[in-house]
Amino acid sequence: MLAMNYRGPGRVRASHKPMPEILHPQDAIVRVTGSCICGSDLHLYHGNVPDTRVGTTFGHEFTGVVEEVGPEVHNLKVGDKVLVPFNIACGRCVFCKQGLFGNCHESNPEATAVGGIFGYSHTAGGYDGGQAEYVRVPYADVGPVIIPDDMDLDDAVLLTDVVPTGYQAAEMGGIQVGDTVVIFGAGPIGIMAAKSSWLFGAGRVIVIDQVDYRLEFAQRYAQCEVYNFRSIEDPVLFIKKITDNLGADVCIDAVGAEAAGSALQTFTGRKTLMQAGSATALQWAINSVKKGGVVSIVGVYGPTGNMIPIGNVLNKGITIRANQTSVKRLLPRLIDHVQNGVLNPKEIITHRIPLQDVSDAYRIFSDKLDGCIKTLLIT
Amino acid sequence: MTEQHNGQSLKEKLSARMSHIKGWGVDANPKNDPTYPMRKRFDGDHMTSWGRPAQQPGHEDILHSNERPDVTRVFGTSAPVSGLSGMIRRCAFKYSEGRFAHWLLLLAADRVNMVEGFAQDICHGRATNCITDKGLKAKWKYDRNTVVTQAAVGVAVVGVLALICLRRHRLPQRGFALVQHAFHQPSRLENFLLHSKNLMDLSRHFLRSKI
Repeated sequence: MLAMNYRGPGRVRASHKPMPEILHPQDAIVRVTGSCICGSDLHLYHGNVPDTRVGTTFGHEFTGVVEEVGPEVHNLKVGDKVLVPFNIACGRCVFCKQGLFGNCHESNPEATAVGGIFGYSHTAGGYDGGQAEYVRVPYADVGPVIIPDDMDLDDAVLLTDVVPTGYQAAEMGGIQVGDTVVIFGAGPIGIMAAKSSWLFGAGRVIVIDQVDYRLEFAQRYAQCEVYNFRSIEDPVLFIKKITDNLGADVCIDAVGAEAAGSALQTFTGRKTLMQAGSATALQWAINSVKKGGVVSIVGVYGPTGNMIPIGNVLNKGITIRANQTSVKRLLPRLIDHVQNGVLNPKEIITHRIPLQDVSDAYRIFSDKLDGCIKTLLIT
Repeated sequence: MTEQHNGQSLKEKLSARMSHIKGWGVDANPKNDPTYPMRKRFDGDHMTSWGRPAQQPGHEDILHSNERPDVTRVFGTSAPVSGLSGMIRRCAFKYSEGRFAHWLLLLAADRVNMVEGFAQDICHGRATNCITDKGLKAKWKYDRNTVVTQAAVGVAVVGVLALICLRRHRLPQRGFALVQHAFHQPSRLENFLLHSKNLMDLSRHFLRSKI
């Protein structure tokens, strides 16, 4: 079968790999109908995530058709069209029972800090991802959800990560009616977080980024205020000034390890890997939020450590909330929102590229070429 | 409502055990939990074991964090450890996730693995794929100026490095001569000739000054 194949930082290709097999009684094999490249895939692509082995297939946002099921799979049958949450969760451990499907303790042998994730390095379990023609889906009775007949497949594929992550970013912010929410990052997650913030009753939603076309898209799609930090000398000071010198009630870091905007953070975090990614967005979020405010983190960082002003967290009484998204927990509500037209995620897909051109697809997405917001790989 | 009910029943259960602590749980409120609604509280919140699924076969060679007792019931098989990078990875897993050594060794293994991948490509006659693997076709199509600029900078950097190398190639000869001059121990004959010359210079100088 054809599959994306990681060869080292900045180098991927489509190549033929053996077909996946049922390795566990609760496995299913899914024929992929569409898979997206996620912003967090770029951390892998740039070689920033430890234990990303050559030969791995990325991809944790995908939909498909069930081709084969293991003997202990009862909720799916061959031919079902499914959307597959990016978390691999057993459904039995204490964390799954608590609804923390992103923190499953039975899906990732290599690390305890994170649960299993499709196509996200051996630090997240070493599973091949969905940027392929076929994929093995462990614990198939727990994660996959049958796509409703009236749902567009483009909407469905975005319900595997982008929409729930943006929504959870807003949810973790504990947004109260009338709150001012500042979102760092106008990528797909940031845009979806902006859109979701309104659902929680935000009074003002502001998005900060450095890419004009993305800011324009965010402004149009999420009806929010947008600012390019390249045109602002000091983003933190700017946010203070436009929020009555107090700061925002809620700040959301929707960027993670690839953040730009600080030469020191970029050098130590992205160029030399002296810290687990550039924490510029998080630094700004902590410094821009109001005293007693909430910083919600959905941007992905590596496992070592980062330079952030933790003293300010203490002095300002900030609550930091963060987690890998618990997709399964949020899906019923979000499927309703999509079916009722409250959310229209497919609008953010700007590029449809065949899987065999995956190296070009990564370059376009990584370098933000051709007005790219979200790339869908077609198999 | 179910969560509240579960929270309440757990509270009732525990309050009997904690009756000796005055005021225990008077302010408990699930809605005030900073993890709410991310974390659904239930009676088994503190359970440490659960009905584990069947073990996926082939787990013997799977590296696992030393913060867990064994391999999880399922695991990925995308790229088994092998070669020098595999040895480094095995070494990394001797350290816990809280140690920098664990992650830095894994990053080092990734870079070694990249070189192994290059070697693998060359063995399969695919070395030329470096250009296409980087997606430079798309870069050329949509951002030609950057490609040209980067290529020009690359050529300039290589040129400067080549120049420096050439100069270094010449410098050692000159440097050797200087070192030889500085540390050269003169022979007896050379000493005799040198002293004779100095003596003649001194006598000439003395005679001139007298005249």
